Amino acid sequence: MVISAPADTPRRRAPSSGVVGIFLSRPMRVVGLIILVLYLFMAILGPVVFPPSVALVANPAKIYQGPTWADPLGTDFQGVSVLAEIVLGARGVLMVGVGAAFLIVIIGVGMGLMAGFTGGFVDAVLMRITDVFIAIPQFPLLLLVATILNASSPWLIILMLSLTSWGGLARAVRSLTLSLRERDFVEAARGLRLGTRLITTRVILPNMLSYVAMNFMVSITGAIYAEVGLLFLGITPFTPDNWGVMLHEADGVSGALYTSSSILYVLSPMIAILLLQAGIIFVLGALDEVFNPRLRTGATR
Amino acid sequence: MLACNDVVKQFAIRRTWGSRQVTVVNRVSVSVEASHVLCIVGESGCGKTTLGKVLAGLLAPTLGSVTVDGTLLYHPGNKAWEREALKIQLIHQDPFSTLNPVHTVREELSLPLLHHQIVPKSLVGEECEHLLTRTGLDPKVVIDKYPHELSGGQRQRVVLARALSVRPRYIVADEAVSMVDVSSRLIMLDLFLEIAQKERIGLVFITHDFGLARYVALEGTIAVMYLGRVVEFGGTETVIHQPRHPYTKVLLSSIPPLQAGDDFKIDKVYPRSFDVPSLELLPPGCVFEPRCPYAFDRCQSALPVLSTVVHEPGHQVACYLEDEETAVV
Amino acid sequence: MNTLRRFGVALIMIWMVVTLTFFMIRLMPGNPIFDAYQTLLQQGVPSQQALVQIHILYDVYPNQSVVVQYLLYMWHLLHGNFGTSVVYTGRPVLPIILAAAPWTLLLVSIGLTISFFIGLLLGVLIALHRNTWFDNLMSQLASIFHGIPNYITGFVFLYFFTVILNWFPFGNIYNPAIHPGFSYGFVASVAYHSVLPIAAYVFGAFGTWTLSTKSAAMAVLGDDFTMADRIRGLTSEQQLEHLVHNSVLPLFTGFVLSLGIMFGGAVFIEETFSIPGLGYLVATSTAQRDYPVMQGVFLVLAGAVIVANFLADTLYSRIDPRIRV
Repeated sequence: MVISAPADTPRRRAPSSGVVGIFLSRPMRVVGLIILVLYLFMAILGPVVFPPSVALVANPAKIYQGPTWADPLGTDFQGVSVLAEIVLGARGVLMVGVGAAFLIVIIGVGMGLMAGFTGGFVDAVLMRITDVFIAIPQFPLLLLVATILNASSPWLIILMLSLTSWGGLARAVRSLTLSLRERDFVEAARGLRLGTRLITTRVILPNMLSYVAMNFMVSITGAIYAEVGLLFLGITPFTPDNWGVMLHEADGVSGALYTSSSILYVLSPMIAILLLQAGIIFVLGALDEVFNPRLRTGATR
Repeated sequence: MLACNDVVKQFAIRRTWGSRQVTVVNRVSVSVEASHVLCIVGESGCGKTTLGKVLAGLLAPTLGSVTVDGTLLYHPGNKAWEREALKIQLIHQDPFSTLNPVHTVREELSLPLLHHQIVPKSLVGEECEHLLTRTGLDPKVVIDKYPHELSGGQRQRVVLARALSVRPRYIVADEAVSMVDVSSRLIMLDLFLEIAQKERIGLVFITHDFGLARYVALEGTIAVMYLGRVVEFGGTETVIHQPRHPYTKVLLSSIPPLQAGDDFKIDKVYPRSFDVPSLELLPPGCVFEPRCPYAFDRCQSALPVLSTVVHEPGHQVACYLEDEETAVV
Repeated sequence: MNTLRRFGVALIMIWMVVTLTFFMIRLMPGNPIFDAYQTLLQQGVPSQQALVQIHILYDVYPNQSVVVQYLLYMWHLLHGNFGTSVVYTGRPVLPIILAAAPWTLLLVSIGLTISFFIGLLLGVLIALHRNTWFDNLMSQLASIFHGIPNYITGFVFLYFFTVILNWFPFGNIYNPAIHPGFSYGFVASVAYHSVLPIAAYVFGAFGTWTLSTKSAAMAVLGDDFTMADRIRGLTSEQQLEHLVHNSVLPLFTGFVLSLGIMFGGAVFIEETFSIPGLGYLVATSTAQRDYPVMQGVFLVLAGAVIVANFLADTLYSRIDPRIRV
């Protein structure tokens, strides 16, 4: 039997090991962290390891080959190494995902904070706009916008993805702001005459950072799904190396659906996406603790 | 001087059909000078917390005015008064909820210091430590801690230090020691009084406890509130030893004696009923009439106004018994 | 009173969506109508004839002012005229949409219902066994499944069960050899073809329901009255009933809100399984740049979601008296 520590024993970790300690405290978080670091490396060093000019050249002699030492994930319908395609696809996918999540958080938090703290007329107007964006089915809207814009630049895709999906976060941040606004420490800040800007950014916002950080991570996966989805449907113009393009070709031109030897080619991009999702989910709990001092030291009042 | 003049505060209460106004503070005028103490005593729901917020510049009154050292607060359209209102600091009842859970003590104290440029940027750290030392805390122990890592007494001291950081001239303390452990309450009170005296700060002390009120405002004044109105006002000793309003007498009678014969030297008075009327459905006459053991016909018809007791300048009571007694004498 | 206000808000939202799409399509760079007009002119078609052709195709004259175009468009919409398809020349948009809608409605509603009940069951079970290995495992699994995009589940199902195992038919919603009608053969064929797409919907959505039921049930378990139940000595069955009753309510609006997400998923699932529903229509009309059809389907989808929200809000406020402020 384990005897619990006396209540007054400080359970605080040394400050230096704080954030690192949180990530190392559970095996799942370590796994998640390793996955994310791996993707980061793929995005940064991918073109160095697999120079596109060499790695992406079609080779009719190697179509749909099984795994070999040279091509651990086999080859695709053009004889290109699947591993190279996956690694080279990471940069574009991650960039769009992170960029869109960043914009979503900025728009969502900005709108929510402003509406919730100001109240009155501003609140009513901002929330009606938000309601419309929440009510419109997001993916069909995205399809419509993507088709009209015929977007090929990643920046335009980021803009599109974020403009169609900030509504939910804005609404949640608004209701968080509304409840925080009534708290005594916000009234104390008003009494100290800290001003609207400081009260929203330094007093209220830090209290929802863990929520915002988790939303940021979840938005990354959401944006990646939508981006890959657009490519899968063939709506946005092709960039040569992208997981969505691989899926699109798997579904169409490659003839992958008529043979079972294409299994690695079909599954690889999907697993690449799911693994990223799993990595993000595994570290979510850690983020909550990093931004919430009360969870960090495990103590309640 | 911090003063409010004929202050009325109403809140809208939503009902199925429309909303109705409830008057929480009704025509109250009180004031406190620098380095003096005013105690506001009353049961929960009497409007004392609302009055405290109005006095602290945090809640605009529906009618009436609040002035601090001659400056009118709540000037519509012109925000300049907020600068003056910094002179008044409110200390909440619950020190835990009034500290930001994600700020360390250092962040909590340096935010107002930096924003109002009270000390040069390079001296902010030093000033934080100085403020903590002044409120009886060891800066080395508490300065990098979060609120949940502090004890109740430490939290209240940090709150006091934060209030002192902006150099207030007046402090409104709303039940400021009720959440502190009983054993350290008196130490906390003494700290309040000592700092207030040293810094020549005017103190508005809001409490439901006459014992505390007497201790805090020994040389100050007491205002007794009931259902949004001040029913008795006067010097502390006068109100406690020669209470005139039946409600004050009821409150004083309810203090348990520490040992036999240690009672306040007044006759025990008990109310006729223990049910406090709802603010939404006040009696037509004197608000205390339904519970008052001395009530008579006149009390049911109209509200008595606060007026000075004969031969006792500075002592005000809102009760028809006064007129009757004067008539008898 | 409130119902009337909500109805008004819903109408205004539909109007905003209509207006938004109208101006998006007509004012963006690369305006398809103006492009088509320019192309005709470049091909040497006289401008008068080009105008007439454009008018037949898109129901507008490109040289009219945007305001006039907008008013005409609204007028036609109010009369159920969604314009005519560009690809299937001359076919009005509305019948195309109406022919596709039943398939989507069928698959989405069955998929949504099944996943809702699976999620409800799992969520309550997790909440009742908090902080056990079951909770840990199922919560992690649910959050991973919660985010899997429909195109992945759909594609994996298609690949394994039709390409590799050859258990289910490839594409379409019924065997084209069977004449459509309420015959046993036709219904059986539809059911056979629906298994995989419905499974894909369920797989994509049950994680979401599990997680939200779990958090709703946890909130209820924390409430005092469940504690009171335990003190009163209610049986675990009675407790469960109480729990479900109190946590289902908050999920109700979520159920309706998820319709929008489901319609988004329909695009992928119907495209993957080649089911001639609304999602497929969106995908093909987008690929063919058939703007009138795209816009029509989009309006129908958005309108359906807004109306569903309105109904949910109205019902919800009737079930839970606290909402009626």
